Amino acid sequence: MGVQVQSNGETTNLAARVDAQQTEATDKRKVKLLATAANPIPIAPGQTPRIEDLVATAPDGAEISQIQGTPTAPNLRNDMLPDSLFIGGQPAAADVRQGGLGDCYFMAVLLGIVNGDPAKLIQMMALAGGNVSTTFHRLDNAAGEWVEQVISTNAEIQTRNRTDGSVGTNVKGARFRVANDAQRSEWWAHIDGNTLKVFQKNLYEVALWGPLIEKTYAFFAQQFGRYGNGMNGDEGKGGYDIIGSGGMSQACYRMFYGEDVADESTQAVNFDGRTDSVQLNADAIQRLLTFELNKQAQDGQTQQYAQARISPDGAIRRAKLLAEAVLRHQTKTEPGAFRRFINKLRGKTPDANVTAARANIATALGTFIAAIDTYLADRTQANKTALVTQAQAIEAIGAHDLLRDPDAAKVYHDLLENLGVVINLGTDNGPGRRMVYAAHAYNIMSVALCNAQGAALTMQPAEVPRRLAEIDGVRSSVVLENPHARNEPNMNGPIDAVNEGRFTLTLDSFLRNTDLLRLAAVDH
Amino acid sequence: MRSQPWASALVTAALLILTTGCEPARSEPPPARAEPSQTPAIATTAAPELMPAAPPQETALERTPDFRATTTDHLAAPLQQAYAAAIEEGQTRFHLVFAPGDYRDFAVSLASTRDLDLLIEGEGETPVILDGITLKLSGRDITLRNLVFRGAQAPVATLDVQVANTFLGEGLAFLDNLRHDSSSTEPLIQIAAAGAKNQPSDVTLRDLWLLGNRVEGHAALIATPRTGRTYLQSLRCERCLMAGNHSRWGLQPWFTRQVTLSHTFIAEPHITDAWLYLNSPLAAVQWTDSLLSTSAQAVHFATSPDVARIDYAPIPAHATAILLGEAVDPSAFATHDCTSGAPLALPADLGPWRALATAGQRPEITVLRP
Repeated sequence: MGVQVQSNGETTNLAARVDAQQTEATDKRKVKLLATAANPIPIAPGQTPRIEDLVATAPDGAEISQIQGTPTAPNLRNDMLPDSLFIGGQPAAADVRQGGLGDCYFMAVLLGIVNGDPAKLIQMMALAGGNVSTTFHRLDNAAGEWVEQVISTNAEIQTRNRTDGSVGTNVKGARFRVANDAQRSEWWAHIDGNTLKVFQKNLYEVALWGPLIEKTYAFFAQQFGRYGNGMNGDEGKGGYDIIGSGGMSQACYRMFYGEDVADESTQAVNFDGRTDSVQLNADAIQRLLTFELNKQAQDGQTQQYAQARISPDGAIRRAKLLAEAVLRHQTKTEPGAFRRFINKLRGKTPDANVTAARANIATALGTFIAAIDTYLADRTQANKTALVTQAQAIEAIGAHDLLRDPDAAKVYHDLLENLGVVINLGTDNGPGRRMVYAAHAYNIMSVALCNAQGAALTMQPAEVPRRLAEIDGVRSSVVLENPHARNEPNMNGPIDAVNEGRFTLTLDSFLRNTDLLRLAAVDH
Repeated sequence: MRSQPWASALVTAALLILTTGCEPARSEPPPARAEPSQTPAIATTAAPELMPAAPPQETALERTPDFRATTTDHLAAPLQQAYAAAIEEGQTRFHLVFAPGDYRDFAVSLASTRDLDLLIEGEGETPVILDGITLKLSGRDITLRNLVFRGAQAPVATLDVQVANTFLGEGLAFLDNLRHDSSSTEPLIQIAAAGAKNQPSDVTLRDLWLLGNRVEGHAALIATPRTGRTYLQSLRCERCLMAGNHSRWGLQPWFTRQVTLSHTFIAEPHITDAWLYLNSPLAAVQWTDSLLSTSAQAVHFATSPDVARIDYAPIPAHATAILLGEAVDPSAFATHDCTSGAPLALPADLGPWRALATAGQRPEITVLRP
């Protein structure tokens, strides 16, 4: 079973086999087998058979002197239920667990479909006799129409050697979820020489659909391209190489829905470091609201899907804007000469620690901005690494307490969030803290618009520009899902108790930490 | 309060008299059909039914804009509110004018409906410069003209158009823009048909400059993907000049039935794969009175399980200089009065060409071959 996960994200730690202690038989006798490995007896999970159900005394049987395993402490075998595709017959968001491939764009689409149209996945996948088939859609370039394309292969999960130096293999690509409880148990006995062995085999449903749709997608992409519309420069590459090198979520929906895709588009998210982001993004908020109102659709309706991401360059540009905002804030809140004179008359002296802290971060941000400018003028990897190193130094815990001071101005906290993106650029080996990952697709699960009092706002998308002033960016929220099924933002510790990849950002934070929406509409 | 029809007619007549002759110099009346070619060979091959009808000519009175922007600040809530109001009031057209001003780093989106005609233009006789601005448009008949898009750096196309009927891009320049994001296939200029299923659209790009732009990833400078349920009937490039751009491909006419490149001058030493990427033989291409200079492949004919290389007919090329540094492949081009030769060397500094573009000069072959 390997190290797979339960619905709460915890590893199952289900070993494939656990052998019982071998002891001397207290009751030496001759027995014959009533239940064998080839013909086990099924027992409801949690129940145990009697030893008489497994073996019977027989004068012509084998003589037993040793026992390994009993009905209460058997030799344990854990295995996957054959041809198990979905747990409980349904796909779940927890089944989507992006692994070692860069196919977040595809995995984020799976999350969207699990949430909005799970029947689609059940309809398009089949597993029988150890073979899986997935019905995708691809473009027929001769006809200019999208047609169905079935991809069939064996249901073996692709594995690869571990990269950490340890012996063994890991799943290649997406991991899978194991049901919390066994669906079936089988019991049998076996005589090995003069040892009677008792076995229990627990069979678990597993959500193999996740890695198997990824596997069939890799086969599909190798023949028909990453989006099913042609190779587009990927000729001659392997399927996993094609799908694992990034992509655009909105272009994936045609592989699922073919000609039923009514629209696919992108929407840039504006940010200038000065203005309330809500006021800059009427159109993006309209799109978000359109998604929220149409994320579940019946026949005859159009369903909306939405994913979000921030590009590495977008994160870097925003880092500069936020660093400049901090410097502007410091200048604005610095007492002028007259105020300093009054304060002196009143005997008020500035807190030396605060003054020093402000000066320290100002110096660091000045250097940081210069490094960003160098990168933007010459976008080399070396220049990017240099600015990331500076970001890591500024963000480091204890380096600049203003960033994490709850009483500090919001602009410091906004900068910290951004640094949580920049410090992890190009690597997942950062300091273990993160905001969102750049160049990573997140599925948008829900959007809630609220006013300054926190009351939910009810409006149609067309009303958003006119009622923009009513929308409070800090009270409104967006729920996102990370296809990793973990790695939530954790700049100051986990946001919620269960790190399953689902997290909530304020709308203000969402608009600050994403620069692109990827949108698709599907007619049902 | 609604004005009386007779009063409105009087005002219209008076204004028309007052404004006669006040048209900007660059907005000469486009013909109902595309101009006849200067060479007979082209005139006979460019079938009239392939020419898109030009949008109705605007009168001076009709040009009263719904919104006139002068700074970036106008492009956020104020513009969105004016646009939303036009939709709510059931207008059939939205007219946005960019006055000369200071525009920086903003993504403008007028894309809430495809039932509205859009007229978006720079004010005055020379193009208005938009620094760092990306534009996303959706509409029925869309006209975009007299604008320079310069220095935009975004993960999205600098110009993204979804058009239900016709799109005319005229007097536009794209200078030194960057569409960053190596995992994207979005081009610098994306134009997609957005009408009902099998209700195609027509696109004309006229007097267009593309200089020094960069597109990352598997992407082209100009592409016409299918983002909805229909396709482009025609894509015409007339008097377009593209030079010194960096991308994998120059033009990717997906889901486009007829591509006509007329007086289009291309000098692209930095295109890495091919200037023209054809995904399907459904796209017929004509090349007339043009110049193509590239160190990459001129045309890539994509094959698939449905399409073999032999399914593509040679592209008719008339009176065109095809400068590839090697003999023109007869399976790629059916040439007539064409010349071949070594690719052009670009000047180290494209500054003078940028100056021509920002001054509103028409692209001419003399820019590349003085």
